[in-house]
Amino acid sequence: MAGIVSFGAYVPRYRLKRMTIFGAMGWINPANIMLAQGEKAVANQDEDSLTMAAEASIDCLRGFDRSKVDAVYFASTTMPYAERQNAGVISMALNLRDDIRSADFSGALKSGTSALLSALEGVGSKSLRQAVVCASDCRLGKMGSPQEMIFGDGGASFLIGEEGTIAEFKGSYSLTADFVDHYRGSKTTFDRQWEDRWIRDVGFDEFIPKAVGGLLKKCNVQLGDFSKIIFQCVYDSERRNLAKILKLDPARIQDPQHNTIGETGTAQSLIMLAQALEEAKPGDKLLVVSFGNGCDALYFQVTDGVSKLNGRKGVKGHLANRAELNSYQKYAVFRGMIPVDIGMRGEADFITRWSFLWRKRKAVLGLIGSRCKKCGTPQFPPQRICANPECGAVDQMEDYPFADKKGRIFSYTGDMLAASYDPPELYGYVQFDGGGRIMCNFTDCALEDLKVGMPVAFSFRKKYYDEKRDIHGYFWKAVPQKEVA
Amino acid sequence: MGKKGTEEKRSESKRSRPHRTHFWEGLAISESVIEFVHPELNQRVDFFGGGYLFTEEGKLPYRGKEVLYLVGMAGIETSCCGTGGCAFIKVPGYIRDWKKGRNETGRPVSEVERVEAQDQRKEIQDLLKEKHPGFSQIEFL
Amino acid sequence: MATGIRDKVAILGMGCTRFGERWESSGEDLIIEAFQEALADAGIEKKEIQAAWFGTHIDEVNVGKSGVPLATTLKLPFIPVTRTENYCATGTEAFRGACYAVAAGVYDICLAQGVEKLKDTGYGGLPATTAFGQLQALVGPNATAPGLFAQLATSYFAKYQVDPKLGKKAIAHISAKSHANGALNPKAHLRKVVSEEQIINAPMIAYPLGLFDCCGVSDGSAAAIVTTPEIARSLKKTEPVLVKALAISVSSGEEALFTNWDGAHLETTVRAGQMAFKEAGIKNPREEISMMEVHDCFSITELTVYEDLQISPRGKAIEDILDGFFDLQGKIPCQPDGGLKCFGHPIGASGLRMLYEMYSQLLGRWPEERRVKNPRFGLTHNLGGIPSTNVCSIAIIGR
Repeated sequence: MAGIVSFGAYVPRYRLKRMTIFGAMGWINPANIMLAQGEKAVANQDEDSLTMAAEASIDCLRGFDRSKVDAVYFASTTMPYAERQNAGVISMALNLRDDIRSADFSGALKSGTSALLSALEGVGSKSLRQAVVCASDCRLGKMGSPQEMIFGDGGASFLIGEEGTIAEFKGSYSLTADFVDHYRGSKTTFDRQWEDRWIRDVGFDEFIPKAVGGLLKKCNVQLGDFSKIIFQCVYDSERRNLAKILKLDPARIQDPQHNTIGETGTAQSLIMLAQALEEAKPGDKLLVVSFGNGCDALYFQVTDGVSKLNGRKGVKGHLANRAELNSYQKYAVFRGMIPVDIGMRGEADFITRWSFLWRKRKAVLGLIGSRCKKCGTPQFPPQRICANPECGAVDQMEDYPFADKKGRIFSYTGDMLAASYDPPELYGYVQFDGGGRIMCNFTDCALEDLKVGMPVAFSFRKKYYDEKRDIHGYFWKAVPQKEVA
Repeated sequence: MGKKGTEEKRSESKRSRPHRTHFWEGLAISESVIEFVHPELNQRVDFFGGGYLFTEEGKLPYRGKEVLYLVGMAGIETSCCGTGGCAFIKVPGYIRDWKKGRNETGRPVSEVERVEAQDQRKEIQDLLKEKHPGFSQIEFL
Repeated sequence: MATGIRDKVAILGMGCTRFGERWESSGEDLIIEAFQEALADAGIEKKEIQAAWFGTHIDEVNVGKSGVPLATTLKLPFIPVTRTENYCATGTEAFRGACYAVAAGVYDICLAQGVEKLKDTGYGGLPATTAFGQLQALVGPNATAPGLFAQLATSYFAKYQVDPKLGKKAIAHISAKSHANGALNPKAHLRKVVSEEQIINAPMIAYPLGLFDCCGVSDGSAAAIVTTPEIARSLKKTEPVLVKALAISVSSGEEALFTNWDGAHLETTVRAGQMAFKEAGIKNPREEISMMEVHDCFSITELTVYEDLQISPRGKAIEDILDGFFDLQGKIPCQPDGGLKCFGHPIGASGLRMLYEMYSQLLGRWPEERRVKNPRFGLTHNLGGIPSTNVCSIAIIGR
């Protein structure tokens, strides 16, 4: 029976207190004070929905053999590319095979569960052995908007398969509706919504119970059978209202992490599902309901396997890795909402040469180097002639992935002159455990944190954005790790 | 001084190090208590790649002591790789004896204890950032 | 059996422009200025020059590609002109081409000239180029030269467990010493004395390098006319300055890709130094080198070069620096003209500007206050690229 084999999540390190937003923008919309509790997770300047989905997937796939993954599905309403398959880029970051299926799911906040259903059905019908499904969003509300207050950034990822499942898929029920509680046209950046009261009364109040009811009937189960009910709803009061309508035991409602992460859009129901799995026991039944132009309701039953799955950072681990973003202006500049002077140096034109990138795609997107078969030396970037001065063998290399390798800082600097969105620009050499060296940026840290010899791990990040040509470029950066005793 | 054999030269210089008007007058580099020479304020030090000046000297109360700091500005115009302006703060350390004397060129000298502990540095940095928004470069001398 | 360059080539004349923000001059004007001085110094006519080597690095501004700009500017009469480019070793490469041609006996008199007009870039600093290739542009960090060389400092301090305060003081001394020298030099751009204190107080550019640890951008040109020692003696009736060694070493890739480089020294400088000392017959550089012009694009580079050239023992450069070993009155004056610190770095010209200083010192041409006493061997050193991947050129001339 198809089900979830593994899961992962990603919550960005930066947290922006809602009062900081209100402090900056409350003058234009004082009503936002009602929403100014807690904090939300915000992507760093070098992150977007694609990188977060890739990171969530890396978390999910840790310790798993990736050679049986036959499909990768990515769901988001804020994909960097309208055309250049985003799932394809993620596939390269995950070093998946070439002969697999891939698809971008978009257009609605329920795309995440839609992608999950497609994967589950693909595996269930034996068309796919395993599939990776990831979802994330990096949504923007206009400055001073309620959306800006409540949106948060994050991602989740699931490995779907038949063998070794930690949660079996038991059934689903879907509703499709052109119910426009909010929308974004293809040329727009910011979310627009209709009246809150209408959205609650005609939207959530109607759709969530209908979806739940439909699933219960179809699968012949009772609401009381479920240990956790996961449903997506942006309004706190409405959540309480739905709990009343559905007669839910409050202890069984999955925490939406509204005041710690925020509303993560397409990823919302999946992040909640990941967290439910983190806390689940074998035998638990989980009900997941997404909302966005309709609903998908999914029913999972947790197996014994869940207690054997460990080593994921998940929601819990990422929530704990926290740094305060104490400047609203930084947030607005990171998200490209306000024009900023990056200096003439930052305007230097760099042409992405697609023919070149195609040849180097494994090195650039996958951080795949080469290892000499003759002397065993790993090297990055991949070489044809071995860099070991004692060896020098020609064309005796095999692919050597570096993305999952640990390393240590070999040299570093904090550069005040380099064009940077968050000066100083931090970079230096990393010496990989096992061999190989790379000069790269350090991210998710400050200059004071860096020391020669410090351990680092690698993270898939946005390397550059060509404004002139609307090109997002990706590569890997080193993130300092706390020493584990 | 003239040119000498290196061994001779080195041992000679150790015996009689010439008196220089800079921070470490007579004291070893790694000692935490130093004599700090106050630079002249609003006096631009020009350079090829720009220039800088100190606009303000301040005393920050911290844990019962006072931290001496200098507020500076720089324009980096032609340095090998870029253009940047700098808003920076230098922190010589805790004031032990404020302007206790003058050096040969008439500049006031204070006895100062360096801030070494990482947690103290972080707290002082945060306090200074709050006091001087936009000054992101804070260096402990 | 090859015997190297030692004593096969003499420098007949040299010229060097004033370096600086030469707003009034284009590259062509700077070429003419340096050439005229070199020609007058050589005491020959232009038509006697049989071949030329022309060093320019940047294409985006400056005079353009190929050797053609030198020929059309100076109206060289249809002689061979070759463009050389090798990052910051460009100027020395031009010199090397001219010297090898003379040593090979193919020509009698050759010209080597380098020029860089950088101040048309429109903003501070070097113009952005893909100097390191396409892949580096996709995967390399958004780096600047100060940041790339600052890593030499963090690695050096970590390796030799240098208290960062002591390290800062040492590199401050390096810059202070160069500024003191440049203040005496009418051709330097920056001619102000700067104290160590002022250097230490200065803001950071790329941790731990501050404002005064980094050289600036400027315009300039320098030229050399070379010939055989016999022709030089017959023309000048005095003992000429002879080329003793010309060495180039280029990174093999192992510093960046393999694990043996420690990040705290410049391997190419070590190798080029070994080659150069062997070629010149120098057994003990610390004792035999009289003076040096090394590539002080950043003060930390100069520090490691003292060790890489086998002058200071490994890990001990700081002692020599603080002892004044490399000061103008020290054992081996380094940057007697003020170095890149005071001249800036017009890339194609720098190597030749360094030779100009060593040459002039050997001939005792400078006033007492900035003269090196009784020099025998002068060494020039350039380093282009980044600490892990670079080209190093070393020239030794003597009399």
